[in-house]
Amino acid sequence: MNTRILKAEFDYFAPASIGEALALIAQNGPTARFIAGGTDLLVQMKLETVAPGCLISLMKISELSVLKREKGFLRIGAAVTWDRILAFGSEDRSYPALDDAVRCLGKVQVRRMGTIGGNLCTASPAADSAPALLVYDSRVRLVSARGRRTLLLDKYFLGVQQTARAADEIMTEIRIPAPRPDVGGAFQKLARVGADISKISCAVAVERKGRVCVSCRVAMGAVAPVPLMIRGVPEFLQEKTVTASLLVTAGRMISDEIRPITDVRSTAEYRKQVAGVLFRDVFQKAWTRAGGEP
Amino acid sequence: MPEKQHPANDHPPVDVVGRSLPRCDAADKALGNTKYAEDYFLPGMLYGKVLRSEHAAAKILSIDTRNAEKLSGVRAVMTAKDVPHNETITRFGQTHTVGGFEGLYRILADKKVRFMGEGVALVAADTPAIAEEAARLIRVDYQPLPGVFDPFEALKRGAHRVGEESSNLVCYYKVRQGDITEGFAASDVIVKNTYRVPFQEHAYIEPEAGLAWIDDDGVINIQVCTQVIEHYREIADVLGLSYNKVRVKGTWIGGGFGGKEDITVETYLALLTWKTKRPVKMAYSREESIICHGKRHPYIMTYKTGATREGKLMALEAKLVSDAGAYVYLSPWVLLYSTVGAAGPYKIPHVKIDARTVLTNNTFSSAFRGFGVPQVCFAYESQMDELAERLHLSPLELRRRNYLRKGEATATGYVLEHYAASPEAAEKALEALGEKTKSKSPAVKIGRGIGSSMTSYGRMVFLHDTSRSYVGMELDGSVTVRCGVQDLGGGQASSLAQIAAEILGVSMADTRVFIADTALTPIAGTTTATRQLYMSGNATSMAAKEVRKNLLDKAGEILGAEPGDLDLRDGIISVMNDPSRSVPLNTVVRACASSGISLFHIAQFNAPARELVDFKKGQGQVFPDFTFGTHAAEVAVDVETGKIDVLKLAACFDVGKAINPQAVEGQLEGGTIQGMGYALLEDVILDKGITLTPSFSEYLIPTSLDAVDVRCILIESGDGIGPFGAKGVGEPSLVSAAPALANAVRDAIGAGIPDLPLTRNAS
Repeated sequence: MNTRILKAEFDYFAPASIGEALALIAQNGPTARFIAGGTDLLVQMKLETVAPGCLISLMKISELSVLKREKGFLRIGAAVTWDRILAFGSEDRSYPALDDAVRCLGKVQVRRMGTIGGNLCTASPAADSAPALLVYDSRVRLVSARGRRTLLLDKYFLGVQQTARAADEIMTEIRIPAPRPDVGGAFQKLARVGADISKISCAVAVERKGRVCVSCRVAMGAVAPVPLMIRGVPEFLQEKTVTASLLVTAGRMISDEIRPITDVRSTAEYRKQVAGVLFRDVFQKAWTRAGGEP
Repeated sequence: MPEKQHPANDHPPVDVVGRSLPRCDAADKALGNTKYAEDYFLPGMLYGKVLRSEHAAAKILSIDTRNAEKLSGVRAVMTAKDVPHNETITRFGQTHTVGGFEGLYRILADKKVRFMGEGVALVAADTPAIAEEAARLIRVDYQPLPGVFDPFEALKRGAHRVGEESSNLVCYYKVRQGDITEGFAASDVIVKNTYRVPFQEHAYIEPEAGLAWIDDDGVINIQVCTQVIEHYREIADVLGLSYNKVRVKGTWIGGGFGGKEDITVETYLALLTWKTKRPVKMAYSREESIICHGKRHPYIMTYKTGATREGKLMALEAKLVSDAGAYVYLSPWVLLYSTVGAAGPYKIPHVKIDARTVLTNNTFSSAFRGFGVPQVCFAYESQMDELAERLHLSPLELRRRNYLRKGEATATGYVLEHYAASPEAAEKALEALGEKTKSKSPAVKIGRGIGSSMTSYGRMVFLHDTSRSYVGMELDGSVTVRCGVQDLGGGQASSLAQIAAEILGVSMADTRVFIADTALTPIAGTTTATRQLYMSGNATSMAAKEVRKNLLDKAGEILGAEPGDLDLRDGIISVMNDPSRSVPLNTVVRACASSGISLFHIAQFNAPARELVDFKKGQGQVFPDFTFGTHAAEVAVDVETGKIDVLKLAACFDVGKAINPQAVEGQLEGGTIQGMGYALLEDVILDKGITLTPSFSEYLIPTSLDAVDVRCILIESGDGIGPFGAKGVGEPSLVSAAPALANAVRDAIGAGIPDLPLTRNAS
């Protein structure tokens, strides 16, 4: 292995339409792969963990680069790069949890090349966009020769780097419902340096009325084989008056619910211990953003 | 302040020295024009590749290269049996032979491998991909051995023997001063702790690379990023060639930090070009670089320190054990630095130090900025803060009461001959932190710490170190310097230009430095040991002064004045008291040329030479001089998550004289941030000798996103032994950063952490 060399020989196509891309994946056999920004796939190819015989770039397909609000949804094309989402987020403050996530996701090079669809297709348990998109109840749209379908993101992740997407399916876009007016969101991660993969991450979207939590959604990264929707806590907090001690209890519930592992970035023990603290910090930030008293 | 200036400072700095002028290599680097080792190409060149061991400890039963040789485009495959002299001795470029320190190592593994990543075979092929494939086709039959991966295990009777020697112990040094029993009996407070520090990776931006070819005269040329072009002799020994048949030309280097002090690609390149008679290039990938080159030694250090109620240090006992890894390399020297530095910049009447370094089947350890001193500094400075707490003294006050001053003796019995700036540096570093930051949350605690150090500059005096430099005046009045200095990116070449320009009264722009060529530049020794400004700066200064003397003599004739009354600056020689009487420099240059007066000089500077110290008592002079300084840090620790935010860092060092203040600050900032990485992040993780952190995805260093602005304070005592009274600062700038941060964390959370890095998830 030599990471200075892209050893595998492969064909490369950059089709201009979805139809063409689907035809190419059908023609080029089981070793053909779609590629977007390549920030993960090219690294894997250099490490020789994958060796696709054919790469089909999705970056020239205009339908995949849509980024607009439409009919109660924000539509983000799967091939939209992080720096475009970042620019969008500084003008449109409707999705602060997503904006927080993109701000701490990679740095200049990754933001310039990496795409939101690519991040979701790679499906790392530590993917920073996933918890934020989960708490906003996002959906992903997939297309193949068999037709189009829409999946809730919550149903999309199946395991470590495993998703409901078939190899010949293209993710076309992510649709995020417009949040209700009193919803605040936030995302934070703990990492070792400025440009690093998360040790653990957390996103919260909370709807508040005065001091009462009307409803909330919580998702965490790097604590389970998939980006994880937290189940118990939202139910626990619903229609409750938010107090510091209530959040401590909620944090403990989260530490109990998650199933982290030990790897080079952190230990299971640390992740469990810190999950509740991280949740409290993120909840507090989202709560403040939802308006009213901090 | 110092009572006297060093004699080297007999030329009053005026125009060029002491100014933050742009370095001569700056513009090309900023524009991306500088060529680094990997940027060179030759027509018809081949690509070299090293097949490396995947085992940390194994017997080699057989190597079958036939399939690799058959592959189209493969031009050479070599194993140990093809290397004329496969066993060599590690030296670091010294000309004076000192016995007992050298370790055997092999160019390619023979019969057994001792660490993961050890070179087993070489390939040269038409393309990098063919070379890769050929390496994969070489079949090596290994019989794995249990190996030993912990230095204490390795010391046990019956432990796996890493090398061929009867014991894994490489060497054992002792320091005995006074009587520690008496010292501890007289102490009111005693603190004892065991400290552990990890392997650290150099993580230079430029991995190892080079290009070799045979020139028209049959000389093997090797263009390589190295800190030691003088390895050409060892390379010649491997090939059985005379020393004038191997030429090493150093390139501008993208960082060395000690990791390019040992031979890297150059012997492999020489062998492959010698075998194929074609140019061969080799460049390591990041993973290969991290896996195969030497690391900073991990140490286990048990420290016992005693002081009186009044805060007077009475006794220190230290037991040091370092992990040398699989080959000796520079471990004995590194250990000697640790041993001599183990008591720190403090006056302690009773000292007992026992230091050992031990072979294991881990990646070998070798030179790294600080060379054994950062490890002990972390330990002795942690001890100081615990003592301060127990004695109800501020960390600064306890240190003030114990700092060594000029004229006082170190633990190794060396009486400091020059100004020791510790008290001044500590006060200024702490002061530079300004007002203490207020915490915004009850979970976030703010803490401050300092770390003081004394770090040598210049090599050990029993090596009888020398450097040479050529300074010449061209006929148009421009200046040429030729010096075998290797430039790591620290401004080593540019500082010589600044010195020559100053003495010869020309601008930096009119001064050109040619560096690092064993055939064409006078040998200047290694760029290690914080020695180049000191050694080659002095040599350049001496050479320039000789040329200046000739110019002033001739100008005196022309102007009818005494040479001593003349001033040379901005390309004009004039009479000091009557500037209307003057002559342009290039007129004088031509006059010298036509009357046969030499316009160049090669000077040799010899460092003070001493005898070898006695390693049973550890008494005597080991280093020419020391640089004193202190780091100060302010951190915010979140006690719920363990997150450490570095809020402020300051570094105050007595640099003697800042030849180029901006370049000095660059060294201080870089060293401080590298020390911050050592304190907070960096840890090469090995599992039974297998590197688990082979890339920057796992091995993290601080980047520009993590670095804080380092507040640099330069003390200029003028009492160094370098040119213009300069001291060295390359290594000292790192040494005390980690303990300053560790002590700041201790201050914040109320407890010391005895291990580096201070990770927030102890595992």
